[in-house]
Amino acid sequence: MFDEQRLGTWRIRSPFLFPELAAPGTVAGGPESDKRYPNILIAEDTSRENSGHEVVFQRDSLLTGVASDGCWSLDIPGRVRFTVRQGKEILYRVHSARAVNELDLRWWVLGPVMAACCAQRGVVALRGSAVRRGGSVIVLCGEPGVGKSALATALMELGYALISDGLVLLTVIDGEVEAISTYPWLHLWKRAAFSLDLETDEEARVCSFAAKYRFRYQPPFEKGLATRVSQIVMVQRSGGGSDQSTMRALRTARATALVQRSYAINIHFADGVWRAAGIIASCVPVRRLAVSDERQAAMLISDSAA
Amino acid sequence: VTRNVVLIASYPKSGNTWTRALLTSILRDGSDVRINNLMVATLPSRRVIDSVLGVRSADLPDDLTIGLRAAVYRQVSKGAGSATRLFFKTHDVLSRDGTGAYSPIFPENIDSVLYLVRDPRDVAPSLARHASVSFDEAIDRMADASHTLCAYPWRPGLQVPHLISSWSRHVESWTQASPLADRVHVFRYEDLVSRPEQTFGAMLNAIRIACDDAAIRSAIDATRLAVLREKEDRHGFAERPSQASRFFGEGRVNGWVLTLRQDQVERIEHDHGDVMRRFRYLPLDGIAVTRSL
Repeated sequence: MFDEQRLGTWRIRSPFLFPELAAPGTVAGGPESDKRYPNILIAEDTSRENSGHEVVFQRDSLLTGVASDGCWSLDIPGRVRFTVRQGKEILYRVHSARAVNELDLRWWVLGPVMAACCAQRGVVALRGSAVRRGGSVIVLCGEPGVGKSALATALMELGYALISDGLVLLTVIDGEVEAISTYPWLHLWKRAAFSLDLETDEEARVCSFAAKYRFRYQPPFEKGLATRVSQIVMVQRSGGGSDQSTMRALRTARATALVQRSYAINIHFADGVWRAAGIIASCVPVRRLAVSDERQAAMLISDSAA
Repeated sequence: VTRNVVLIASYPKSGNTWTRALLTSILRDGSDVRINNLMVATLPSRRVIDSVLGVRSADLPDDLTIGLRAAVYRQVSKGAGSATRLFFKTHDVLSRDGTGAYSPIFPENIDSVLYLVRDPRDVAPSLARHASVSFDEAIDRMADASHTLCAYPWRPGLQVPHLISSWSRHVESWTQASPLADRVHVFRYEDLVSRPEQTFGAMLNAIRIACDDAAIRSAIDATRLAVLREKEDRHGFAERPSQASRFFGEGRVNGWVLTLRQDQVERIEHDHGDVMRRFRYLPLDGIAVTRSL
């Protein structure tokens, strides 16, 4: 059992070593932290099935369910079922050891399962990337494969630092939206890596079923530092009509709907977190960016941030 | 079981988007059509699927998501209720899964299907332009029974991978015996071009949308190909493939006479002759008059 890996300021104890997270023993606090109970415990669900004492989940979507005590479950048919409790415990029960491997388990834990855990902790988890310069953060959201990570890379060439890629964690306190730094790794689809002249290494593959790879970027970031979000950019592919990338501001109602659509999972079970989208959209400018060229689009974002 | 889903089904480049634009104009009381906001959603769209799965399909293996598609659509149908009709477009072939059940199409929830068929000799050049491939490559794809759209190995598409099969298999699957046969209404693209008012009127009649002739004429005027092309030039079209310069082409009938070589025409007629005869694209006596048009 590994300990002391961290996501933001949370200490995570897990049977898996997540390459994206800080390695055991390298984070502030040192060995002393071993004695403390972790903020999030990840463990195999060893309770007996059909024992009559299982939590009963009501489905709130085809693959997810919610119990009366707020427990959340994700059942990936034929593979694995995850249960998330009180933002503190992530349990997994493998349906078929042949159909699932540790790589995919880690991918799901750091993706939709962690998003549910965050929701139980009152933290908004969006699918996207976030970069920081000075005291403010720009969040990039959009459909899978649209080029968020490639755009983040282009922003890094302009001097921005990556603070997360995959899940972007936001807190909303007193009308202030802050992003929590998670890990300085890019998750790039093979095509994006190719277009950025980055070589893909099978060792760095993030899951077995998709051509997505992990890349380490420097300089390092300040782990767990929350930084004010200055704008949210909804990235979409340019539909033609112009070979220039274009950006325009969105009205609050539209912006709210798009922030909700960017949630990493169906979040209706966490009512307060679901409603946070409205607060985020009214506190932070949300802009729609049609990308024709990543570098030119990055310049647009940088100019608008200035 | 709720039957509330209307499908606009076709092999690609057969007038599906035009029909969606026409329907959008009617459903919006003849108002101007915004091509990036058509009212007929795309069936294999990840956005539709993800909203029902509860997690992003890009986080799951594609084979798992594909296997869940029929269940997703049943849920969408159930959620909408019997008082609401849902309109979707699809290029899926009507097929069964390993258990013999129809999937990803879900006959039990389908109210009606508008199926569009177009001369494959005109589909081939249009498909070649759309996919940025040669005419020969497009003809190969149209003969490939395992041809799948949106199966990108290097990144996820906005739609999940979906089998369309060959042109002949696609047309046969929707227009021959199936549990849906009595609800499938077949229209030829060529009739929509040559007699748009009658053909579109018949489509609306088939899906029980009452509409007067003036509204139909107004919808046709608002969605003429020149208008759609001009809108694409001005605003772009989100469904344009990234490699294609534009989505809306010439839309010509019998344009193949000028664009395809004789051997290419013969290949298409060889690959799809039986189905072409059924839809009067070839004379029934089997003798093709390919260059005399």
